[in-house]
Amino acid sequence: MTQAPTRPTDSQDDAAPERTGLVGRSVPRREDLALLTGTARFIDDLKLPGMVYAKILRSKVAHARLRAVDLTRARAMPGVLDALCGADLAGKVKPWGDLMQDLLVGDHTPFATDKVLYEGQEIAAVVAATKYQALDALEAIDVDLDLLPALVDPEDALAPDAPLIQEGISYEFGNGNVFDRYRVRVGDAERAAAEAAVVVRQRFATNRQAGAALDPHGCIASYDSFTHELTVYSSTQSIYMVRDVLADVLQIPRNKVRVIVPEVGAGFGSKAQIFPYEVIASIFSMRIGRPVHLVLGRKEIFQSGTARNGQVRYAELMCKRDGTITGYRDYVVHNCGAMSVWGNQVIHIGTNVGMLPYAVPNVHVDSDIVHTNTAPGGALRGFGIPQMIWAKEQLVDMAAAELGIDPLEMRARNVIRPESFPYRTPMGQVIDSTSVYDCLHKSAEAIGWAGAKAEPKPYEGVGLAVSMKYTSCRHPSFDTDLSAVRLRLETDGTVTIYSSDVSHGQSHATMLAQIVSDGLGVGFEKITLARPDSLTSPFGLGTYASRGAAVLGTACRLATERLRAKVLTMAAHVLEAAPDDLEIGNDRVYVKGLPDSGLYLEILAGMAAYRTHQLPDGFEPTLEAVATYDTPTEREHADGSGNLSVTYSTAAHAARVRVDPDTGLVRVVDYAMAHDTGVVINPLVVEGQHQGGFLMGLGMVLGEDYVYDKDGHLLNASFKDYLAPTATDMPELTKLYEIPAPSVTIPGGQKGAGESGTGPVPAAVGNAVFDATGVRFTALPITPQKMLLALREKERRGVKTFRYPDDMPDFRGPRRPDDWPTPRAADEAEFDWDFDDEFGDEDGAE
Amino acid sequence: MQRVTITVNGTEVSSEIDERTLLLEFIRDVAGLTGTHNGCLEARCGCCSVEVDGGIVKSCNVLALQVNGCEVTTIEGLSPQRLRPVEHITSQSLAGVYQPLDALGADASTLHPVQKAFHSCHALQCGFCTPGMVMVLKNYLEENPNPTRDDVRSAIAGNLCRCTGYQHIVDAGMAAAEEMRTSESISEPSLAGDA
Amino acid sequence: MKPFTFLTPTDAHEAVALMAEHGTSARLIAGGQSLLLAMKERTATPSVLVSLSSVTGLSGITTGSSGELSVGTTTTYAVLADAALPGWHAEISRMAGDLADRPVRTMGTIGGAICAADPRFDMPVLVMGTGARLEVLGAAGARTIDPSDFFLAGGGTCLSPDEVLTAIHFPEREHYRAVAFEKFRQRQFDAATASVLCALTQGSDGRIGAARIAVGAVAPSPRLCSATTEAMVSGADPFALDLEEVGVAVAAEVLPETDTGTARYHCELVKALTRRALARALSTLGS
Repeated sequence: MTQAPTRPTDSQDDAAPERTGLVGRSVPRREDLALLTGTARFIDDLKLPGMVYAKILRSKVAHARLRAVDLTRARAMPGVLDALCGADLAGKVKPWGDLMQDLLVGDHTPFATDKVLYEGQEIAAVVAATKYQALDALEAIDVDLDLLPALVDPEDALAPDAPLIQEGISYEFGNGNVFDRYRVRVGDAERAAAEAAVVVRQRFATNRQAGAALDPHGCIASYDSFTHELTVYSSTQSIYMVRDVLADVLQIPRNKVRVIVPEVGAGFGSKAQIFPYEVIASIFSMRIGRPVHLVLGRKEIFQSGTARNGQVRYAELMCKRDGTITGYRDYVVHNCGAMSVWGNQVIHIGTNVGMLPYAVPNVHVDSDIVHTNTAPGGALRGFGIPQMIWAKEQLVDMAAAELGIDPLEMRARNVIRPESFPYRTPMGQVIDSTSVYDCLHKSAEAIGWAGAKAEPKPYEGVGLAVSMKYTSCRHPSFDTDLSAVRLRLETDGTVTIYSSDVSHGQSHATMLAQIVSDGLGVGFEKITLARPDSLTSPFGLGTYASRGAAVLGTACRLATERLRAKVLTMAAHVLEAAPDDLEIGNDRVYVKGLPDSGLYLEILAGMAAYRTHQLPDGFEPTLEAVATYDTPTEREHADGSGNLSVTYSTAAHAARVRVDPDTGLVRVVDYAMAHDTGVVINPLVVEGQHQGGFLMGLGMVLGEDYVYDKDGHLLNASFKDYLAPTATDMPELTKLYEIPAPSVTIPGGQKGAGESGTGPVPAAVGNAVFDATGVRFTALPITPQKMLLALREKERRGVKTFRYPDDMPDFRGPRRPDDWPTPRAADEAEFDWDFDDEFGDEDGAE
Repeated sequence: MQRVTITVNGTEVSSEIDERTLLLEFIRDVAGLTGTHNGCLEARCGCCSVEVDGGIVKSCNVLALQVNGCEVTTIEGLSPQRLRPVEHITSQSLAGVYQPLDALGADASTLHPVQKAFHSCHALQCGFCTPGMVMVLKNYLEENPNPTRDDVRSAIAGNLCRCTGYQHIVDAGMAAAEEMRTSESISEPSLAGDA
Repeated sequence: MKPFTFLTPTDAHEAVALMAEHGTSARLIAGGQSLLLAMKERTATPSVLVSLSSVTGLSGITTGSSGELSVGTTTTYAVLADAALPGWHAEISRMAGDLADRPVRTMGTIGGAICAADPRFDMPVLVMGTGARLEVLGAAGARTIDPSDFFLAGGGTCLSPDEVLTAIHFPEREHYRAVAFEKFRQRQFDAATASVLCALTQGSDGRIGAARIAVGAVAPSPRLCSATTEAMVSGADPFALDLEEVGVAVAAEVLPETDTGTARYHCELVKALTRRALARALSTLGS
């Protein structure tokens, strides 16, 4: 396994002689020095004068009626300054909630009020002079609960007699525990099934997964009682989402809430929303007038942070004799946990974009989106795509086996290869470019696909999977996909970049500086990225959905162009030359061909600010430019189709695994990743993103999981038991190939990098495990225990291949209409049941 | 309350502390050095790794009282910042007229070989696990100058990273090992010919 | 953590006296790698901590005149791993260097692990499998305990609150011809899912002499498989031993009669690890 690493070098860069700028080079990062030497300040590193410490009492049970919370003893504990519970805030804070249901439903409150919905939900909080005093006081809070039966399995939530989780909320499209629905009607899947040569079907289940960013969720809230300004330092991915929701919840003006980020130690989607702790710390600070520190512990983050939505998919793939995929049908039970902000959107994006890289003409998907007494579902690297790919790419292998076609060939016949771009798929995606066909072959070749198939080794196998990933966040309920950048050429020739999109590992300070340096001819070392601060940063949505390089990068490029035009106009005036005759570079503007002459940018900028009488007539002083870029994406259409992303990056992965027949341990011994990330701004950074994406996929397929007992207790809420991969669990990731097909829609040609590496991993490993052992895993994760028990079961039955776990209904064979699960809340035409009959009215909530 | 004296990065720090104070908390709250991070408090993630009398420990799982009188090295102690002339980056510098001011600072050239390798190999993204990773690798490589890639993986098996997939961290470990071997040999008397 | 008093005795008798004085509200702390985790979780709430780190004579590795290897209770894994021990004692070093992770090995001690008595830890299996004697000092004086008595079948140890484990005495180098430990855990720094230690002596006729097999992590305490070893391994011809069969017998002897997935998995692991440990020990025997 010990191999020499490949590393992009300057000599490789030099191989492309036409490239003179920084974009496309592995420029060492601006961010590194502070992080490497320990001077970077994360949320827990900040200390404000007079700061005090808050801690949250969380529910130890998953489902209960909350009778009373008594804070009397806690308030009397040493050092305690204040204590709060739900009853104290009833009617004083506006609940917030699921983005799909935002106008109707606010299912999030700072504390549980009348009911506890999941283990770890906030019940009360205290603030004290020290952390220990706050923790001690938590133990003096008396809570009176009546236990209710817990609902853990998402399919159990569908039962009419299931315990009702969210009471008293009128959902627009759901009822009871089914709080929303999702459907796709493209083409005619019934007919595709009838006409198909082969239909493969299987029930697939996916696991919950945590972002588990190592920098804990946390904030410091500081309220100024004279100016009524609330300043919140928060470890978040989106300052404006926190600001706007927080202001609404507290009913104070949005311009009186200032959200600032310290250094943010990763998020992966798990910090892309507001959380109760931000509200709690703010309320404490407003009440006691001191800065309140509230940073969560690891167990709290596992229990109450968001987790990847689990899904149960009854999936079906229809193919012609030649392997052409003609249809896809699926019924999905989508587990959003007890509440969600983003979780609901995951099924939309994951299913729509997860259909790629195939142009499937007939698609029929129904989904019941349910609540369970488990951790809230939400965004996590891949946003539904790994779940979808896990099912679909295994079905592709199953169909290939049925048809006697090599899985590589099967994919090669189906991946999008239009004669011209842009190409609109039946699902509505507009593919502006892709090298998926080449990526597929490159990854297969790199893993030694043909050889491995020709000479199989016992307990060793290879597998493929392909996926494409969106670069946008226009969701059904989120009708925007913008980022903004403001640039200022300072009067000494340096440049400040303002953006509200939080860099938490994505290298914005480097990547944006590369773009600005190329566009303005300013030295890289002169460019600084200002920290996101809602008081000064232009409005932007935040950093998620792989939008950094493409959407924020484009805003930055546009701002750079505007600033450049302004600089040239001014220089043309001063130099008495035509703007077209001027070139910009080397920190100056010069007449073409005379790079050593000209005007330094600092002279121009100084003039634009301090000697404005020298400016041309009508020239607006100072050299600043703002650009906001919103992508030309579409909202989801009623039939579920639509172009939800501005461009699509591609990942074709090939895995070689080895299974230990004694212990069941699955090791990925070789792995090849061929990607189309369009124009890459910083190759080494993008390589790191892909490798990190792979890690999350590997964790999802081989270990990470939220293990609940039947009462809804999370049994592995610690890094001791939560199986996050370590360095020794990883293969060498040197077989990384970029085959760029530059985006046409994005001016610079970039495509999203962040999540691209995660999508295919579970399916590629699952397919390889089948190749190695004959066991087709239908549920995630594939733990050593499950692997070994599957092998023994296979031996016991004396079969060559089988699907596992075998307690799952086998959906192979001819399909009859009545053996398909019936959606509970999915079909608009059939959506005519009488709710009172279906669900009863026993709680009187309606 | 009990008095504890710990030498942190060469500076003696003494304080009356709550017995419960972890070494991690002593370093962060008493010594005021926040480069040592609290990622889990479960002795798992490794973000809080520091050296105590030359041995590497997870400081969230050690009481400050347990290491009373010991010498602790944190990430801040690896490449101490020093007073140096401020670098002028603007073209219109007045360097010809005035001497530059001195300010505390560091640059890539003054970093420890492990830090330097992390920088050149892009072995950090969000950077939260980085101080722990760097400390463990430094401690390991000083004892094991000729590791294989798998050895480096084992050395950091107690440190979690969620960003990088570890690949570039292992690259950095190997690159640092090489530089440490080289600088070890050139720190012998003959310095001549050093490029 | 709950508030506590931290005491640092300098000799073992003083430590014992402090433990006797404070009773069950006191806990001993050596490296603290298990205890502090429990205290942070507030599942252990001692009001007194008696530290062994300043007690003289509790740390280090010595070879007695009879050849037995004595390891002080506060000897860290790091020290054990770095000790160049000859013969089968090298397996002790190998084990100490292959558990938890590098930083935990710096602080964690052999005595701490044994007294924590977590069956998933490797040190309890080590002492059980090799029949090491555990030297204990209490208010009533010193005594030496056999590991079979030390670990209670239902979990925990037989130590009374005032007793301090002071040293672990392993049989002399010549006693065993081969000792091999095999374990399985998903990630390198995880505690074992199952582990098996096999210790063999060899008769002058080349046959296996006395054998011991201990199994960890599948029961509340480390288990010694005396029935299987007596019936099938001790006195056997090493070349004729059916490892698969021994594995099945060991699993049958230590595992409860339940049919959960975890129990079936433990059974498979114990069989495989027994086979691996025996095979490795036998290869030493043959060399």
